[in-house]
This record gives sequence, C-alpha cells and structure tokens, in this order.
Amino acid sequence: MAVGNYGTVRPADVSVDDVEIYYTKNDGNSVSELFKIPDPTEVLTKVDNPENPGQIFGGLYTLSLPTNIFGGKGVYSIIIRPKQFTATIVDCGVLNINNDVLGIVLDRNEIPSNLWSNNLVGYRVEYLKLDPATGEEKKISNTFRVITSNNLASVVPDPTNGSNESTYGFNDSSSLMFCTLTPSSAPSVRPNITPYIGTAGQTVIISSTCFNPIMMEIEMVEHDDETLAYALYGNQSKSLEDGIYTIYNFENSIYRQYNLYEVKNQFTGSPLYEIRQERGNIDFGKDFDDISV
Amino acid sequence: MEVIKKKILLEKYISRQRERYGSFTTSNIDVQIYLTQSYEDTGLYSNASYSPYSDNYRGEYKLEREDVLVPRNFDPLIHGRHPLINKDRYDNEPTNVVGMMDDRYLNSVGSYQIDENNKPLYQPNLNMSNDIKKSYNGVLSVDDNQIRYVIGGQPYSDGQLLKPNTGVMFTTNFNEIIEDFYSGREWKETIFSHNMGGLRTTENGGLPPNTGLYAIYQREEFLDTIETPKVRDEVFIKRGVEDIFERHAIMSEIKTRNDIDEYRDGYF
Repeated sequence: MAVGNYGTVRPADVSVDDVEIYYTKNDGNSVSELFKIPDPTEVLTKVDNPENPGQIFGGLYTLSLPTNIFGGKGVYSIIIRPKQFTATIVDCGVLNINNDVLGIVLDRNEIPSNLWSNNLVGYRVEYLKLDPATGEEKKISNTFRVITSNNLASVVPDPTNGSNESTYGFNDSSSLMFCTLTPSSAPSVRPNITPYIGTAGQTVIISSTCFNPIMMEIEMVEHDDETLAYALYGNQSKSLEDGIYTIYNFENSIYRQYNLYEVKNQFTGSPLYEIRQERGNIDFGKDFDDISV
Repeated sequence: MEVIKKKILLEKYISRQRERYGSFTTSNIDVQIYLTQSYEDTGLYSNASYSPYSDNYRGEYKLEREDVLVPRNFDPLIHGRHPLINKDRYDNEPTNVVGMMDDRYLNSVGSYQIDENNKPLYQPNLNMSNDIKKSYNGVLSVDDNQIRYVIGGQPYSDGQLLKPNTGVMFTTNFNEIIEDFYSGREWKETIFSHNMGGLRTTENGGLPPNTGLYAIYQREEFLDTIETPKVRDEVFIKRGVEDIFERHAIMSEIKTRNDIDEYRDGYF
C-alpha cells in the first residue's frame, strides 16, 4: 500500500439541470438585488463534440443572455454555481459493527433518487441554525463537511455500541440514508472529541461539487472603438435642404441622425448658436444607397 | 471562485434596418463559458453487507416501491446500487478472448501412461489437475492432427466432468511447428480461447458468482490513502518484439523474490 494523494482538473460535463444561475445589475448608480434565473436550461446549453454529435464536448457551454433582461446598459454579475437543495437531518448515528464511523441520516424524500447509493459522494454539506432572536434559520459561517459515502440504512440493535448514538445497518428497504462525512473522526490525541457533523432536526444545505462555480462580470456597453470609428471614418451625409445630418455604419445603414440648425436673435436676426440635435424619428429617405451616386 | 470579465457591445445586436430600427435583432446574446471541476483523491473505501430491497420490510421509514423512480438511462455498472435494480443487472456480458501461444500447457494434461517413444498419452475426459475437486485440467478430444484441452476449468462435484464454458480452451495442432528464429525454440501451434469473462454477481450457466454486491462506505482514516495497482498475470503474450532495455526496465517491477517466479508467468 502506498500513501499519497492525487488530484486533477477536468472539463466539467455537468447536466444543465444541475446548475443554478443568479445575477445582479449595476446600472452605474446602484446594484440591484440578487435575482435567480428560474429555469437555467433556457439560458445554458451544452456544446456537443463536432465529431460525435450528441456527445457533450466537455467544459464548453453556451450562455444565452435574454435581451429582455440583459439588454440594457450596465454591469451584470452572473453567478453560475452547482445546484443546491436543503434537507433535514433525521438522526446522527454510527455504523453497525464499525462504531467509530459517524454519519448523518437523511430522509430519502428530500434527496433526488439519482443521488442514492454513493452518488452524493463529494457533495458539500453546510448547516443552518435557528436564531432565537429572529426565529429564522441562519447559515453557520465557515462550517462545512463533505459527504464521503451514502447508502440506505435502518436502525439495527447493536449491543456492542457503547455510545449514545443510534446504530445503522445498510438496508435498501429503508427510506433513510446514512451519510459519512469528512472530517468526522476524532483526533488521536483527544479520542472523545469528534468534529461537528450536525444534530437531529437540523436543516442542511447540500451542494453539488460537479463543477467549480464561476462569476461572469459582463459589461453591456453602447459604444466601443468600432462605434466611434463610425463617427470618424464612416460615411456621412448632410442634407442642405432640411439640415438632417446622418452618420452611417460600415454596412451603410443609418447609425445616427441629427438635425442641424441655427438659433438666431429674434430681434436682430444674428446667429447665436449652431445646434446639432439627435433625431428620434429617423428619416429613412436619407438611406446612403439612395442618395449617393 | 473564478471571475470572468467581458464587455459586450449592444450595437452588434441592434437592427439599423428601416423595419426594425433600434430594436434587438436577437432575443439572446450568446457567450461561451468553460466550466471545470477540481477533483481530489477520495481514498479507499470499505464495504459492508447490506439487506436488499424487500416489499415485506416493516419499519418506521419504509421505502415504498411506487415512490421510487429508477432514473432514466440508469446503468448499474456506472451509477452503483439502486434498490429496485436486480443483482443480475450488475453482471458483465460474456466476452471472448482468443490468442496464440506456445504449447507449454500441453504437458499439464498428459496422462501418466506413455507410448513407445516415452511420450505421454493423452486421455480424453481425464482430469489431471492436482486437486480434481477444485479445478479441471484435461483433454477434450485428440486425433492425429490436433488436440483440444482445457486448463483451469471448473469440475462438477465428482471432479471428472467439466462445467461448460469454464477455463481456458487450448487447441494444439501437431503438424504446425513454429520456430523462434532468435532463440531457436520450436513449439506446436497453439490457439487459446476463453468465452466467459466478466464479473458475475449471480450464478450464470452453472458458474458461481465471482464477485459480490456490497454497500461501500468511506472510513476517514483511509482518506488520502491509495493503493498502487498490482499486476498478477497468468498469461503473457510474447509479441516477438523486444526493446533492448526491456529486460532492464522490467527488473524495476520486481520487488520480492516471489515476483521473480510469478512475474509474467515465469518470464525470468
């Protein structure tokens, strides 16, 4: 037997059903509250391997930002993280025969069926605690455990168990699930002190770790160097008859349109100002292909 | 958490055509993201026996059959145990392995009788293994051209008859002589085959299970502890191509004196 460890970073192939997406918007003056995208499958799609259609490429996903939400100017902070669900600890116990193996017991009704029989391995457990002052459950900061195994189990009599904890044996007919956690074992120097793994009746938040969460800071802008180049290097026209000044983009479509006029002294008729005013009502008669020769 | 910063020009998605001037040309703005997963060693597991699902179970927390959905595309070999999946679903499909080797195992099936040339006589249906109750090494048929025999088969309880599809089947052709030009060794062409591979959690074709289905759980003291893979090969196929450093390189895989005997079925 060799002692060592290993690790790797792999492209995630998580199902988009197991993803949660949140966002805030900073419009330049304030940051909005945190919103949740109700159905992540509508905005996130996997990318298939071009050589094997239907097979996920791995790691690469397309995030389709709906313009009715993300179409305005501003900085959007989009958080993409693994899905979470809450469950209640039914009991804490030890394993039959191996009484030094501690675990929490969950009710399978709160666990998706595809996560039974060791498919919760690697999931993170975080704990909530009732705040007597407010009567609300609050998350315990900086405390988490990682599930290392989970199997359906039921309480079994075990006369060898000297602790006050219930003893559980693996049983597929039971709707309870025994989950071992890490860290959960006592240090060798203080064998009676075990790390906190939760208490019966406590609510826990269980999170998948099937990909590393990311935050995208997307700035939606109205102008960049290309739109400035329209104004500098794009085609332009100035209608001498009605004073409409038009700037075209590089496809010769109307990008902006302005009214040019002078403000004169009403008594003397002398010019006071030259005005360039953006038009909201575009005059499409100034289409570049129509007026140029 | 990784933070990705990106700037998107809205103008790219706004129409400048007469019909839809100023409105979005698309309902979505697509960006590509790349998600990764960091994985660390989860160490060794222990296994324990478990009680399979039973409709007759009586307990406060009873798993009702109608409340359980077997996930779509559930593959027991990949996704592990599920209460409503029968044990035989965990069995591997039989595989067929065929190869060619020398006739070294022919000596193992020869009877104790000898002919006029002092060569052993081959007696069909005679189990020549050391313990005939545990394994079957014997000849199935023999004629002037070829001999068919089995090594490592499973006998019925009397030790004489072979259970079908067990052991490695050999066919040696007496008239096909193969010579190794490097060593000068000669042997009779021998083809071996085995068509009952894979794991069995249940009896299959008279064969007993060779693996079990258990509940596995983590013992924390084994975290970060991994076991290096060990190779115990009974069949070594010499391909006739050998790197000049191979003999020196494989010496590094020899750790004990037993390895000298066992490695690659007596390579040294």
